[in-house]
Amino acid sequence: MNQLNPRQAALNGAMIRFRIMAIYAGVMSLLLWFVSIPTHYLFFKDFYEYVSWISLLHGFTYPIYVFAAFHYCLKAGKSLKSTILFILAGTLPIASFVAERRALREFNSLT
Amino acid sequence: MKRSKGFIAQLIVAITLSITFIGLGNWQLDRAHDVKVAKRFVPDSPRVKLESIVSVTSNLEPSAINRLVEFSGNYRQIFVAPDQALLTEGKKLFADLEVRLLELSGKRGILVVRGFESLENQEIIGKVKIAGRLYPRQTADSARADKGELSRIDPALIVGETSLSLFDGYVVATAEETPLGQEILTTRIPAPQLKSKIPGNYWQHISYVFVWWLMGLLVLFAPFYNEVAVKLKHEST
Repeated sequence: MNQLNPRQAALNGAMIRFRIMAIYAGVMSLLLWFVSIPTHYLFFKDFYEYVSWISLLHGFTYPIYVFAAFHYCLKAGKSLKSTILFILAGTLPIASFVAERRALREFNSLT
Repeated sequence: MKRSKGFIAQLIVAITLSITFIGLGNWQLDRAHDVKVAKRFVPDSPRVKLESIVSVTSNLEPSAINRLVEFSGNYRQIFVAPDQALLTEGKKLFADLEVRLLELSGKRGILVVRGFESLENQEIIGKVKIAGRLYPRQTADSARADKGELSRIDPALIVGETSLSLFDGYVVATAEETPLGQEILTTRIPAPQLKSKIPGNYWQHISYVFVWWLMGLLVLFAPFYNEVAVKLKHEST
């Protein structure tokens, strides 16, 4: 395991929390957009009662992602615009995975 | 501490956005309340005369929907409504239903769902007293209809086939009898109260309440964001 430099060490906790929540929010967004919403409004509507928990869980846990993203962005000194984009990434499928990869790349490049 | 005009403008925008987000949270709270009310069990009111709550000159009032009604008249026409979803709790069942047009006094008519369609149509001559539950007309077709069939239970579909003035909606009969009090038997279908279909469930709306209120709080922090971010960055380096 690589030794963390002081800047990375200071950001490490917020970074780990953000990465966990970004991956979780990404999985939940995929389920929401491609399973829950289609069965609610488009097709296999009888199936919705079995997957209604997805929107419920996503709704209640998204604030945790928001806190994690906000804290990470604040500690990493990101601009307000980047912070808003990081927060919104939790609502779109794939976007939070992209945000997580980007955050990791920036974290690794900290000197 | 003296603040620039730009900061004041940011603060005003942030407060406006915050109020909007909190308003959206309150709207979700109202929807959660509506869902709760819609799913609440409402006891049936006593049975009333059909003519006392509906008329042929107006659409069905929301307050008339689900009411237990009684009326009498003569059956005039028979239809089949194929592939109808039965209003049962839990299991979803589909069946072909027998629907008849009943003529009431004053050249008025109403569609009555008698029960399951049977191969031999019962001949009912003379006046019939009916008790049942009033439902709004269906708006979506459940099947393709051939001659003598109804794609949905909607009086608008038979306007051209009768000279009667039709009541809006239809009645699912729970009992029929002759004027002498003799019960007319057939295989009836369930006639439960129709539940309002407000999308979503209570807790889902509550979760959105938290999300919007959180956004409302966070946006208030936006004008101070850069200051705090720079301070934290300095601390960590």
